[in-house]
Amino acid sequence: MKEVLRVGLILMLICAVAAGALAYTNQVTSEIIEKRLYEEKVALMRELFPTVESFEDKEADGRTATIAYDAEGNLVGILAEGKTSGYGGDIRFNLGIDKEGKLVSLTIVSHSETAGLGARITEESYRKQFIGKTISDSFDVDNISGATISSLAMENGVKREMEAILTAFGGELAEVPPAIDISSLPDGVYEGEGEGLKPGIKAKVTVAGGRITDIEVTNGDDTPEYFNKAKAEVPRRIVEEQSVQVDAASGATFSSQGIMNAVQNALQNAQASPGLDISALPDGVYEGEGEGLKPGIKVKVTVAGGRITDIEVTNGDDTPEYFNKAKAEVPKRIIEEQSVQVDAASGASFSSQGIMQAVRNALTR
Amino acid sequence: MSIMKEFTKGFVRENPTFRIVLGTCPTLAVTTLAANGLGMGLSTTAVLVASNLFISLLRKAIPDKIRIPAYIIIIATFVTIVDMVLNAFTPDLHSRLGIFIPLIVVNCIILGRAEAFANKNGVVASLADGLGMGLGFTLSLTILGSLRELLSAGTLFGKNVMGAGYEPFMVFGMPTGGFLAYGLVMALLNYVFKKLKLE
Amino acid sequence: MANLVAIFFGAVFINNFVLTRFLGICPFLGVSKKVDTAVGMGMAVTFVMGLASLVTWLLEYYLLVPFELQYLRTIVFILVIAALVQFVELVIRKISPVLYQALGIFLPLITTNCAVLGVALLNIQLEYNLLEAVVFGVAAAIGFTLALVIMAGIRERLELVYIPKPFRGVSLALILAGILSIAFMGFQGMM
Repeated sequence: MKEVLRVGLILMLICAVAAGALAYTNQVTSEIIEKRLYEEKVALMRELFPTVESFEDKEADGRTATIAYDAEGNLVGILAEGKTSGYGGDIRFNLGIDKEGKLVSLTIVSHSETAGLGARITEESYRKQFIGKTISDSFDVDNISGATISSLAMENGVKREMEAILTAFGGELAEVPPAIDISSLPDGVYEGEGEGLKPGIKAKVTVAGGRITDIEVTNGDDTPEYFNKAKAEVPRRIVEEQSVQVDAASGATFSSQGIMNAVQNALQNAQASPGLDISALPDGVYEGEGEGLKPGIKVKVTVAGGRITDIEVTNGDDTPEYFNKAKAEVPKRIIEEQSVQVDAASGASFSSQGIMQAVRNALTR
Repeated sequence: MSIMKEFTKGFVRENPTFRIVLGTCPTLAVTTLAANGLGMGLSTTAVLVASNLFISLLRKAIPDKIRIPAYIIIIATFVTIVDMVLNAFTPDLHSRLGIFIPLIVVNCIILGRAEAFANKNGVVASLADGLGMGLGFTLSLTILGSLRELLSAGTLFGKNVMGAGYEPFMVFGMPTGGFLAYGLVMALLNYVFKKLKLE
Repeated sequence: MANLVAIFFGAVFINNFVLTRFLGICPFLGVSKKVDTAVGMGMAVTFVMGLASLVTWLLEYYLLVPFELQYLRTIVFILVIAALVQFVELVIRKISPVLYQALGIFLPLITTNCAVLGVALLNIQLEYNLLEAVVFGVAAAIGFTLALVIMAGIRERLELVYIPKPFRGVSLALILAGILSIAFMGFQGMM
């Protein structure tokens, strides 16, 4: 018994000393390592986004990203990890996206693709093809011969992850189109174009009495199997729900989104057409609602002597940092220019459009 | 044996790589570049010297029943320290050696010398033994690494030696080449030793 | 499921632990002289590596990570492996004394088999989940056994042939391993 105790004690003593030595060394060296990693990150950030002055790590939707800001605190770039299912397993990559929504860097972090074939996605000549693209570009690049699945996984994956990253972190940069108030659209038949897996999806949208009454998809080069599925379901849903963004046809996400984009484009063309005659408006205070990044923007517009004299923004759920910027500039511009369509506040396009929509909504009731 | 003999035996006569054949895994894995071989050899030497030192110091205090776990703890501690230090001060080498740094703990040379020498001999002798074996190991790794780097890439420690028109034997940078290089050099040394009657 | 199959075949053939990753060379050179010993060793290693993958994975994600003690990983893993090998030794002694005798000193030496610690570390590096880690551990051991048995088969035959003096022993084994390694490279395009 004594023997076991003595043996156990000696072993514990050795462990304790060892643990102590390691804890100390760890403390000293991890500081150095962290400092080095930080400096490497700074160098990388500078290389990707030349105007960066500061950056911070953010988390959203289960992914982390490093957001780069310039001296004025504007978002200049996002560096985040994305992944896709390749041939031999997950392919993980880092995407660097600048403030115009362009891909500035693509590096492969890990993969299990076949050496000499799918593994060639790490080659610079392959990755270079993605640089400069935005999510509204086509991601159809030259495949690696003999590695179709790996190549397709990269094309679809990079585009999809870019969208997801921009949606999660990009705020103003995501190309989610601002919602259009269908009820305020003039009657007519409008044409629009959008991009699914491939560009060139054309749609003819009929508007009557403030409602979309018909959608005809006139062109599309996407793979027929998926495109026809989307064609069969998406226009019908749009008409039913009187909303451009509807659920995609299952298994045909790209084509579905493409049709929705085409309809959106058509409606944007409708919006751009007849203007509002402010000078013919009766005096009064009008209330209206609009949608920026989020719905629920409310305004009170005062009209006197055929002019907009005051605009009070009474509600809005958009990210305050952007919404307040829009709130500060857009009403002012509308009053100065006596027009509902004015320049958006820079860096706050959705919120700006939302306020303008709310004003138009107020004046067209 | 004299301290000097303890020190030098690791270089040739009892060279861990080519004569006793210990520590073969890192030998094959890291000798794609001469610099990697040198780095790994020196790291292993550091651990070997430190562990021989402490095990020899504590040889009377550690009860025989628990000597293996005790040795493992001591060796693993030094391996972890070397790992952290390399990561902090030579991150390039650290990432090239990768998983083989923590694997130093199962390098049979270290446990082997602890069992065969350090737990029976004094501190100075154990230090000499550890240093000698470690440097012998380093020598072998550097030689193999240089050979493979030269043949597979035409460079030595990163500097181009073979000139522009050299067509590299790429196989020597691959696992196959590792085995072949090691086996052929060993056969050569066997022959040389026989001839020089150094057996 | 497809992921697990890929991991399995990857570890056995495409990135064979011995012939491509250089893990487990010492026993590979030492125990590969007779086929039956090779098989016995292989089975013991498979058991240890599967168990080790399981236990070390649990320790990493339920002990080391939550307490931010990752720097203790090497020590903890190797101690766990040493304990597991002791345990397996006891089990084999009870179940098959013959095998115990045949394996002799190579059984406790499984502790220093870089393949065991290597697979435990790789599981963490490759960020496998628990199931993937165990599959990888078992597959790696099967790959090790495969290489071992093939090597033993060849060396048994070579016993009957004349080998020039400088090449006898380890040197020849290494050259053989090199040739085997080229053969296994043929699996590269398999998946």
